[in-house]
Amino acid sequence: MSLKPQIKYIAAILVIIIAAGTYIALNQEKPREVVIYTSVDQIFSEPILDEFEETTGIIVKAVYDVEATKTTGLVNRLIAEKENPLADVWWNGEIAQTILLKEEDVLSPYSSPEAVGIPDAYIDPEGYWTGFGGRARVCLVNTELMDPEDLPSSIYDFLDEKYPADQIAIAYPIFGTTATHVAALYATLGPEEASNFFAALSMRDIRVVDGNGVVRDLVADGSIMFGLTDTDDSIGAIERGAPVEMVFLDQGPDEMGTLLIPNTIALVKDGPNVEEAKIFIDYLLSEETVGELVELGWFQLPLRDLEVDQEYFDANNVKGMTVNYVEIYGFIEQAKREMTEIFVR
Amino acid sequence: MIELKNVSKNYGRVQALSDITFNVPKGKTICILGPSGSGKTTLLRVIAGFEYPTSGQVIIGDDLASSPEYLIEPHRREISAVFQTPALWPNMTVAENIDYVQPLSSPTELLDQIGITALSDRYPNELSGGEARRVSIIRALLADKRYLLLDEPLVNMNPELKEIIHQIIVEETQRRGTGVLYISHDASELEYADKIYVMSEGKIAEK
Amino acid sequence: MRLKETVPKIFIVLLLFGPLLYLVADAFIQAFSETGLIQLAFPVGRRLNLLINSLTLPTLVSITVAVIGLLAGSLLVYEDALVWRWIKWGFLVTAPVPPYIHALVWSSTIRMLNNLLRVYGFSLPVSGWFMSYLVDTMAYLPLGVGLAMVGYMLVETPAVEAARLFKEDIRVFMEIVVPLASPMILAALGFVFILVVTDYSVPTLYSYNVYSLEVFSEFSASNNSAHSVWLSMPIVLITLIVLVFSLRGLRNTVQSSSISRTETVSSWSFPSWFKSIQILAATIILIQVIFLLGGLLLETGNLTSLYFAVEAATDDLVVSGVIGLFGAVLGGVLGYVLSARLGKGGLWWVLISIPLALPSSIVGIGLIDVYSRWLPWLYGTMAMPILAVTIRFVAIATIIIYTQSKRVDALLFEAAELFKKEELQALWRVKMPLQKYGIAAAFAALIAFSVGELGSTLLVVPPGSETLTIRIFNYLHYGGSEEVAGLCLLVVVLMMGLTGIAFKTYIGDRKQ
Repeated sequence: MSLKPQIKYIAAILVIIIAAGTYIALNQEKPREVVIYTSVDQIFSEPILDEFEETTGIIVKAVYDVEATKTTGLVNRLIAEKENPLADVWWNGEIAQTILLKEEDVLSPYSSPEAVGIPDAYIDPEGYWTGFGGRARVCLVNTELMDPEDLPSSIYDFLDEKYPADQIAIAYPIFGTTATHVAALYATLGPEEASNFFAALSMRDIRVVDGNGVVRDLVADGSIMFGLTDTDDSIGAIERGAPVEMVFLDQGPDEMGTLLIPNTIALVKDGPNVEEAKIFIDYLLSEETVGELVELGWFQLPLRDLEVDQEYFDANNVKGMTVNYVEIYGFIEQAKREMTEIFVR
Repeated sequence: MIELKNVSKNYGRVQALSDITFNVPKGKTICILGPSGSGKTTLLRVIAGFEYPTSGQVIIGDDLASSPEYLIEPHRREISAVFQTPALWPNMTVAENIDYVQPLSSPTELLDQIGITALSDRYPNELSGGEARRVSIIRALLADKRYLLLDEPLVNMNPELKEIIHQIIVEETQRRGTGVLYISHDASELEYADKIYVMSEGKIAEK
Repeated sequence: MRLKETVPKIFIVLLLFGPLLYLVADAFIQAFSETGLIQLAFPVGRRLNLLINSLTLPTLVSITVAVIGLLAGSLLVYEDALVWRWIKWGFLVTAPVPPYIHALVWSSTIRMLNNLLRVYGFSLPVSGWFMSYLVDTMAYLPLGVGLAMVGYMLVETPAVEAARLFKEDIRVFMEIVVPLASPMILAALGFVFILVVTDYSVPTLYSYNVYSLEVFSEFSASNNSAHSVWLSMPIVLITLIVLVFSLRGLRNTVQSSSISRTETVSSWSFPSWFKSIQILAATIILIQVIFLLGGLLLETGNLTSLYFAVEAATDDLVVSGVIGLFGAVLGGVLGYVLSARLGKGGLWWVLISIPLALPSSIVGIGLIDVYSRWLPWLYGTMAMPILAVTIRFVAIATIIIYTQSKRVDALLFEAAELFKKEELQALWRVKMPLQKYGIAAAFAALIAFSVGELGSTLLVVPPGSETLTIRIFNYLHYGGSEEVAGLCLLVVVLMMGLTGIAFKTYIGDRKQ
């Protein structure tokens, strides 16, 4: 019995249907859309994107990053795609990688009218990116394991022998906001002092874990006394009822302050939907959206004169490091390499 | 005609065929005698197009069929074969195995003669060794190709059946004018041969 | 006629290896202008120590898996008892469950265990190499046991029974059966070694530094894939050596065991000490399955949580399903074509396994570099993640189909080619039906592995689409909620079903 000729007819009909469907699909009027690449945790960014879509009718197509790739994945995707970009907007949960993308000629300048009120320190002088809303680096402590008078108050307390090394944790200082914090210390203290500090931490054999979230979890479940993490992670633990408290380090009058890490937003160069991208950037930078993100718990510091309902700390009284973010970025590669030498062994 | 010109076949350091030259004319029966390991099966596989020759040529009709760089696919060579094992397809019944090579609208006299009409609905794993071998022979004959290769087709058959089947092979191939290459280690099967060759250690010589 | 063979070869090589070849070529070109790049391939000092230390974990995990596979596999293949026959392949359904899901369960389990143990004054480590070893071993145990079982099944019964006439069963097992099955067991050891040595996600979860982390860290610092390519050369070389060694054993076993078997040896009389360690090994696998399912069930809490988790992730389920299904079809077709090549030389074995050995993010970057530049109309579509999973896992499909096809007499295929009247007749009526179990098993396995893939999928998934794995990872980072456990449970159950089909069909060809 040979192959049935009916199969050939069915195949021909299928080809015709597929061809017709493709033709119809290609000739349909395309709805407005915008493509957002974001490193912001999906649980925070997705509601904002959904709301934008509902408000404007512009379809949002998002690409989220995952902690496992430490933002490196998405940034490298943007660089690799730059000759034919798919993305319209880059929304970053921090700043260093945004500056990198500017250096790699992935971004286009755009000055949003909604950026009024944001201090110059958080806006690129050439308009390639805008910072809005920030998180802060913070020390999360377990209140059941520590007395209030014994809480660390400075980054240097991490070297204090009175705190057992196996009770202290930081995330790998090679990725994410921890890497940015290291670079900020390089910029503030000088590379040698900063490098020596971390070398001493490594010598102490403090716990180095896979991310700020892990630090948070270890403090929350009492595995360690305290660790370095971000405000959003800390608040998450507080809201879940963990016996923890946030301590902002180096807040004294002569101390350096803690690092504030702004979110940044930028227009991708040659993206397919420029007008829609600008509408989205304006939307995200609006006071209303910033307020919403504070409420969601993604960031805690509006970075501009804005009334926010922050129940866990006084956002106006956090002393930030006096830093130039571009200078921080300049130290990132050196800092990452030296931290790899110190901690990956 | 199937023509072999200086055909050799190596497997690494092992020389399975060494400078073989002979031919199988259409309508004639050529027999090759030889002990096991002499290269008979390898010869068949090269002629059928399952293997490239290491050197030399196989020509079928007027066309180059095989050379070290060139090979016409087996099904385009007008060759049918009976292998050392029955090689019946286990997912098909006897009738379907035969239908694969030549659609049959009704049982033929040939099927009755060989005694396998009654086996039509059985699967290969439901046949005895002898029955399976008979089916493979009838399958090859009904393919009705110009040339037929037979690799020890009657091995392990009882003498009576051997005689019947041998007779059928001879009659059918003579009737159709098929060129036959018959390989055996039993000289008693060679009485109808037009030419006999002897094979040993990959080399061939006319007897 | 050689051209007819060469063109498909070139197409397959370009499709599978084009992106990787491009990256390697780019790395070599950059090496001319950037001094010091080549030096990355020769680790010294800290990196050399890291590399040497990094080999400990995969060595320990692969040996453990191989030993448990050797013991448990023999029990599951040769035991007559109904209980073992029923649950034989059930053990293996967790094979494609990703290690991060095992990490979720075992981290909770060890923490709970420590709460009990602290009463007696001690506790188990919750980080470091111990947890990495535990999680990786549990994750890859089914793979090791499965391959060991296939190894035992390829041992020819008459050969074993002949030996049993002359020596006691334990000696026959050690001297005849294990050596004959060892190539498959060694293959399992090799595959597990490669999967562990190229992974950094589990070790970094437990603060255990490995060389793969160095590679990724360099990528993060330089944002230059050429740096990572050169830095990963030692790992690639090591994995290739292991691969060639382990696959050589597989290749030889398969080629020498072309006779299909319909029965396994039964009624062994082993000494009680041996039976005990067999049962212990099988129990370890059972623990792995029970703890995986139980841990996730407990974490999920109730069906309502599961329902809400599934509802929120419906789109992601569809995307994962599409990638899995089409990746399986493409991978299955390519695997079928490549399986025919495996008999022609060892080089093909090495070639198909390179994408498995390289870090998954390298595959993703290669795809972006090639397709966004030269095929932009294809880039940004669902074709990209489908290609990514195909490239990564085609080796698995190829080897499954090849090993199963070797249980069929090759002469049947040759006869079909000889007698066919139409071009596709041999393929449709003989070759595919006789290999249907291998093809179905490869298909199901591909779906399962593709659904759980993260590293390369993340880099090429089209905007607006997200896989279930990406969503799970995002929620894991946020804080291991009930929803995460519910989604993980869904992934596990889906993968269990698919693996169950794969292994059931793989060994179902008894009549052939």
